[in-house]
Amino acid sequence: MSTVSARRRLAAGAAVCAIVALAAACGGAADPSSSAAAAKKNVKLVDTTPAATGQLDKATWLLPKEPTNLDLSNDDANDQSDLIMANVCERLNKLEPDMSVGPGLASKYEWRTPTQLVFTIRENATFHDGAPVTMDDVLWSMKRNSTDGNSESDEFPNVKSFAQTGPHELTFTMKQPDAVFVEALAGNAGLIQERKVVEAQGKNFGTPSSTDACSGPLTVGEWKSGESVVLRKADDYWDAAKASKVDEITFKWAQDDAIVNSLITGSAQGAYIDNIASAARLATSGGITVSQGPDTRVWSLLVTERGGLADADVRKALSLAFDRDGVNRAAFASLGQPWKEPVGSGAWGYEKQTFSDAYDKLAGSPAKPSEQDIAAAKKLVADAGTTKPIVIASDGSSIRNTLANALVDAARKIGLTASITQIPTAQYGDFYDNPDLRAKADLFADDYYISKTDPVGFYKNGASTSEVQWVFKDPAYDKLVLDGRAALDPADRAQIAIELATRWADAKPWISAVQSPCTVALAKDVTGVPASGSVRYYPWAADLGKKG
Amino acid sequence: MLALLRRLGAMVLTLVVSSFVIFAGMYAAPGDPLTFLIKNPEDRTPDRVAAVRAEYHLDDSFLQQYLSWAKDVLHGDLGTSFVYKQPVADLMGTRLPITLTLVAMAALMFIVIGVGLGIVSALKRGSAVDSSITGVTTFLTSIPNFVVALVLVSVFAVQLRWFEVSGDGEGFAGRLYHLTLPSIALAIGALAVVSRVTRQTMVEQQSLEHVDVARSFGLSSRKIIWRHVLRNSLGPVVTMCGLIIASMLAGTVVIESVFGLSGVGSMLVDSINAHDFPVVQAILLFMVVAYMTVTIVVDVLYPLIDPRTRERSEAA
Amino acid sequence: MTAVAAVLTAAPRKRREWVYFLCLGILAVAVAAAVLAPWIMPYDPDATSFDAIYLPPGPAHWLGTDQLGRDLLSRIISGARSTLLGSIVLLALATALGVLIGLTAAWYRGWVDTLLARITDVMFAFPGLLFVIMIIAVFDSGTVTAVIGMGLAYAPVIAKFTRAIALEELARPYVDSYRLQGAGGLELSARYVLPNMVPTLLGYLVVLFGDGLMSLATLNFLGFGSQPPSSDWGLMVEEGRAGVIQGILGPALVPGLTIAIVVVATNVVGVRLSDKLAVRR
Repeated sequence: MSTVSARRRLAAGAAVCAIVALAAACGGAADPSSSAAAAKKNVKLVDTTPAATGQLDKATWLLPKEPTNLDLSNDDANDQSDLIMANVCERLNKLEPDMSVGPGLASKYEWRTPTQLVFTIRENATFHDGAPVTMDDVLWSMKRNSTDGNSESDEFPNVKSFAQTGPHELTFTMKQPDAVFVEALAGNAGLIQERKVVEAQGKNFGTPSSTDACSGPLTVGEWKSGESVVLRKADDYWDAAKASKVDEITFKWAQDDAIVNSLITGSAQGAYIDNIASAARLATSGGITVSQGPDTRVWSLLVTERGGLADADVRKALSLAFDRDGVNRAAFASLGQPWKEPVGSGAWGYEKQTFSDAYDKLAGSPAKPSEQDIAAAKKLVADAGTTKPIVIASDGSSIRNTLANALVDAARKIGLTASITQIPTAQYGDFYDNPDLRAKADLFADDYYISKTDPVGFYKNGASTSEVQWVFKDPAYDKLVLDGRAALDPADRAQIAIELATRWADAKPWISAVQSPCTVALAKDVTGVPASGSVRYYPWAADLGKKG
Repeated sequence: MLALLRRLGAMVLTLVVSSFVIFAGMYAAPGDPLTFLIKNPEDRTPDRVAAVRAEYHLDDSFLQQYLSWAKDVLHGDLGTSFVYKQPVADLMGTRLPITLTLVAMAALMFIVIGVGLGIVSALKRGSAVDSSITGVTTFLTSIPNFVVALVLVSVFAVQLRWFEVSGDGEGFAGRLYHLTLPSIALAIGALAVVSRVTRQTMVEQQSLEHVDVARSFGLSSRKIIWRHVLRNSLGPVVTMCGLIIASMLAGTVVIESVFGLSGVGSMLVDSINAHDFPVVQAILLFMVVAYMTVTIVVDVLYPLIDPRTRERSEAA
Repeated sequence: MTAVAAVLTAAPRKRREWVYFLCLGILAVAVAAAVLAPWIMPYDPDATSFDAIYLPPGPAHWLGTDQLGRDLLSRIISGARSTLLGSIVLLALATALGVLIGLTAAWYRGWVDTLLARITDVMFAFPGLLFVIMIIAVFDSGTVTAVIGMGLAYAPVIAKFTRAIALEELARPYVDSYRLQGAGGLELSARYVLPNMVPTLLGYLVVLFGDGLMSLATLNFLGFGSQPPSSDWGLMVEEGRAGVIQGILGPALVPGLTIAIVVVATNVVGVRLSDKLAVRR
């Protein structure tokens, strides 16, 4: 390449390629706001997609990541493990698509006394290998779930003991009435598995070479590590009415753009979209149905004990000036919802209207700050006296980056200084456990969700002993939490929950930003799955079938 | 023969040193492995911690750990992943075919197209065709391969929907289809170099005496090209292709990330981000071995293709 | 396409120079942008504006905006600083180390040469990118780590090149005469060998600069180098990925093409330089 003509060739090649690339770029630069608006219009807001009419023999479902372990009690199990095993395993109670709690492997429960919770276990339930679900399995499973070291053992603080009190009766003796515990039994705390199958596999249980020990409408076919997980219809599922409408479902994992492309080209039938901004394109592709349903997941900025935001008034000021709508448009393609509370509307598993009305009345967290909001915020800052520079931690990912920048923006608008510090994604999760890491920033961003559909289940985190908030300590609040748990009557509990929410909003240990609804995209020939956050524990794949 | 043995010896030495460097690197990395091995701080009871430390040999001296790791590797045990809690060998086993298929397809592409373009370039030396080939290929090399990948995804997969980008496909044919775009992205960078080297070698060959002699004997042009020019050009071209394939393994890291393929390259990126050191160690070691294998194969092939070098080395 | 090439081929020699000067100009603009960045940027590259998300190129924003409403032109200009500076430091480090190793090996020959050759062989066994990735895995991501790592990765390449030229140079008769006169290795190298090497080395280095720029950008793209809010071009492409999935290619393509254009320009200039300087030899 040492001749004079080299440069001519380069220039010619350069010209051509530049033109081609520019054409591609301009072709792609559609007007973002109109396409976002179109996307939003096409998205349906429902608890569940229309019921399926026909049996589906095969389906491919996409996940953002591979499950780490299919033993749900294992610390390592991740969200994908939950989503897959929700179809395979069953619990004492069952979470329904509308986020309410109904009967599961226990046909009913009752509070015989304020401290005696009695479950009646079904007699006809069977595990996948044909063995009946016996009281021995139930007791063993409860023991396993409640033992220290199990990921759900923290749901049992109010349980004094439990025992079999009849041929099909399980009684929990409680230290105090606990309504939240009943809800937790619809989650992994209430998991019932077959003792002999789990014990036979030892440490192998939950790894790719193992078999499941459960009783649900689908069973684990195989897990090819790095490639796929296959679930098959359980032929003799004990509840014939709720038998699986899909015969075989294969789970694969891919990155966001790959998921979107697979759905558009038809090589996959559906996916629960983790990065909801990517659903915007799906909503405008003909043939794909995108539905959203309530979930408990909310992106919030959590305040650490570092000191920059020790003053509650400063926190309230930032919340007033924070542009939630902007974050929604930038990071979620407008498919999220600017949200005032740290827990989403999926938590309203009972007394929905009461909670909804109370939410509407909450102040201090506008979707788009108005002039009055900014003025009020500035006044709060002025009254607070001297303020320190604020540091917020981001890990460089799109959503956290947007949240961090929005906070810096809000701070700037009201006369505070804020800056962003980078923490690698691998370390970011350690903010909850590591005080040294928390000393590096005043705020970090996370999408928090709860497994129980009850606002009390979230607001217990405002207690002084909480491990997820560090700036709010109020003994009156702590007492209210205990009262909430003990309030067995839903109307009473709702009132306490609302009171807790108001106190939380006043103290603002977290600045909440955007709710991330559960989002599901389906190919044109399938339907039936729930669109709500219930899919974490509800056998959603059993409802997946052919469209009419 | 002796030269080959010496070469193998040097390779083994380099391999040992590389493995040492890789292991030392991971050992020196900050961060306590225990935070990954026992995620929930409530579970870090003294008993559990001691058990885990014993299981992963965390209490042995550095040299002991290195030797036990090396011994395990030679027996096929690549350690256990911190994140997946499964044998690294299993994890790599499922992902390796994808990476290898990707590299193989890309290699096929750049060899066939690159050498082809080079030949055309050399035969039509000085013409407009020659200029355009060199110009376009050189420009393509200057575009970072991740940009090429992104453009390919958006133009062909998103806008035109000719291809799918959903990881790997079912069965053999499906996999080829799904890996088409990624292998193009991987091959594009190499096209320019290969075609240029081919062109230059052929031009050199064409100007040598024996070609003129052959022409004066009246041999047809085509025969001259095939017998004399091309065959003698094979040597440098094969070497170049070999080197490119060897370094393509590193290129898979980027391409697999962009296209969401679950191959060894993307696993490397993920495990670095997750501080999953056993996996990082194993993959780096594998890539070094692969790189060296390819270079040795090329070294061995060269004398077979070009007998002149063989005679020269035998005479030496 | 062929028409353009035909025109260029047919043009008289003087007019073909315009390509070279165009590329030189591109490099000059890039350097000027890097140096003058704070004064010529139309907007603050880090200023977010949620009302101006993903705007296409227009009168207010010549290259459009990204996901956070930041002006792409300003980010490219400020990114020139970190991108070019990173590549220069990387090259300086690689050259200093490589030339030192190469000269030492060529001067002393014998076991020193063999030892250094073995060491560089080990380094060659790692494809450069992997070596840097390993360093990143150990020392965690960061601009400094990435630049130093890449510098170390390129050093063997320069060392080999230097050694080859130095061997040739040291074989010349005048070197022996100086050696007889008692001139030390360092002095000889500095006064005679290096200056004679510079012409050949310089052209090579310019091309290596473009290569280094691409490698550094790749590292940044993978998230192993510069961290946000840096507007390093490789990082900008990575941040632009979020838009590609929605069909908005600008934020990813603009920095990508910028890298490509600068690298092409360095290739052209580098090749021409080595031509010109080689001729003088």
